[in-house]
Amino acid sequence: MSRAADAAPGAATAAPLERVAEHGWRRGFTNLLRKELATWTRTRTGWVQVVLWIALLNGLLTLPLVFMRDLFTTELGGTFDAALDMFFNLSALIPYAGVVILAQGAIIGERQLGTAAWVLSKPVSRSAFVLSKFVALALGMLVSAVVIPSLIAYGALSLEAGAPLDAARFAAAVGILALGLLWYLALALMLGTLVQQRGVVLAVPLVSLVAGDMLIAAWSGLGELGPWMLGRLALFVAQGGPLLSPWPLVSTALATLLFLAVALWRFGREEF
Amino acid sequence: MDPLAGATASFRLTDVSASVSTSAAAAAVVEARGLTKRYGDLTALDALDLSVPARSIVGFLGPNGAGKTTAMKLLVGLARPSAGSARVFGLDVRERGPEVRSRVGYLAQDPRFFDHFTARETLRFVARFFYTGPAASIERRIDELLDLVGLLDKGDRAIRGFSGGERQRLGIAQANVNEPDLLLMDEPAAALDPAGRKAVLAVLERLRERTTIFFSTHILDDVQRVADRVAILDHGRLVAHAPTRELLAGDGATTFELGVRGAIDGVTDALAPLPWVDAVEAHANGDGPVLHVRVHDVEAAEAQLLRVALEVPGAIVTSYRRRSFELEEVFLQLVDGHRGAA
Repeated sequence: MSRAADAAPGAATAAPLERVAEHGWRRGFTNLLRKELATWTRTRTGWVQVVLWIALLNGLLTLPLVFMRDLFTTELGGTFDAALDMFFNLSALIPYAGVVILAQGAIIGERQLGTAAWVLSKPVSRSAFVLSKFVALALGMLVSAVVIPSLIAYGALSLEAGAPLDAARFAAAVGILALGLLWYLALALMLGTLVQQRGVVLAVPLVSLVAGDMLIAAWSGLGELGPWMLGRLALFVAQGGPLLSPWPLVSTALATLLFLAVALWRFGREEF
Repeated sequence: MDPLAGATASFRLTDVSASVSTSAAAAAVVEARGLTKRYGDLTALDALDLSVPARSIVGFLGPNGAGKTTAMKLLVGLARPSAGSARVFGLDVRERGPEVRSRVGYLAQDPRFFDHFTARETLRFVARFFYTGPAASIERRIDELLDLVGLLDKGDRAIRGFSGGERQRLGIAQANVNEPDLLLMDEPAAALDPAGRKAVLAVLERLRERTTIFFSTHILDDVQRVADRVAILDHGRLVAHAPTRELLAGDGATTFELGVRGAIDGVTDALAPLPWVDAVEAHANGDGPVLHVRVHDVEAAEAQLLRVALEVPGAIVTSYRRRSFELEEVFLQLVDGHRGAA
């Protein structure tokens, strides 16, 4: 102890430590969220994600808008409509898969490595542990895979249209996409608290994502009960149409909350 | 008959009951009542009744699989009891876990950290669960802890490059970030070399003044050196819980060892009828036969025993010493006795 004290000039006058004031389910949340967000802001992860999503979502827009204009102009209904259609359909698919891949190890990984037990031996509520992961992954993915690509797409599509698009409509459409992303994130986190195998956490949401259209084709009512119609709804809103049905939004939002509630309940009973 | 065999029952009966009565009188930092943990058909911890007085160092002993780690996890809220209750600082661990843990430092048996963090980042991360600032004071605290465990020069190295001993020392540091009122340590010296072990024991000695320490270990010598009290667990059940000094004193009887050559039967016959002698047994060790003379009057034995033996015709006394119990001996007797009784 002496060396450190000696080495720190003015150490003796250091102000006393101030205790954390968080209580209840929030206990430890701020610190955990700071640590989770640091993964996005203080490592390469954040930049890699931004570049990846711009390359995937905005890069593909260059096909109708730049490199294959003739093909889209003459045969595929026009460059603007094709680009808008492509952006919203891809945005309701690839980022959803991406968030599941990123979230699949968030709970299971820490449980298996033993770091969850270590963290939970501190004054931390288990709810804070789960919610910090949800909030950090949601913010990271919404910024890198939804907001930034959408801003770039908005600019590119406005240029193509020759005038700025209706920003409020475009933002509402992007909001619909964001809701679907949160549904998949909450589902993956919930599964991470329920099972021990990463494969299950990956497989269930990805099957839902891939088979969603087929299931809706078999039973159209399913589209009202989850996120499977959100891409089409968002596209329709961005194109200037009305919101065809509020139920996909309501059911997706409620299911997201339900998934989180189950995750918090299950993780609260977890033993280490 | 082995003189310790008779003592076994006494350890078990007197010491467990002593712990309960002591707890009623002293302010207990940890209070377990009927604490039980079952995993399916396996009972890892069976109705543990345990009190840990404030400002004590309690060594928690037991063979592998005895339930020590399970008990530790229950006390820190990482596992849920199947029955019974655990209170720390008078608070129920299940109901008020974060509040309890804000005053506890915990070191797991195999501490795990984020490998990409440095030691300093790890301590900063832990400190932020307890303190909001000021940043300079937190950094000062981190420096103190790194110095305490001898990692000041490695504070900025990623943990993935740490040896087992360095991880263990970091574990001790992180358990002390909040200057805990109770330190729960599961095998704190297990991964350390002798010098590291010595350093850990020195740290425990230093912390004794301001905190209560409850540590599990299989290194009995460590317990004998630093622990005020000993709790012994076997197959999930508490076999003994008593002050270390009492446990080492056994049931009040004292044994003298007498190395004898020649007329060993004559020495036995001369000693056995004496009023202060309880039992005389012949044993063999590497140097020849040894008599274990169990007495209840130490003063009389010290005054007469050797003289009586020397006066036996044909007997040559080669060694003479008062035998002291080692914790290992007591531990093995208690555990074996418990298994025999079961």
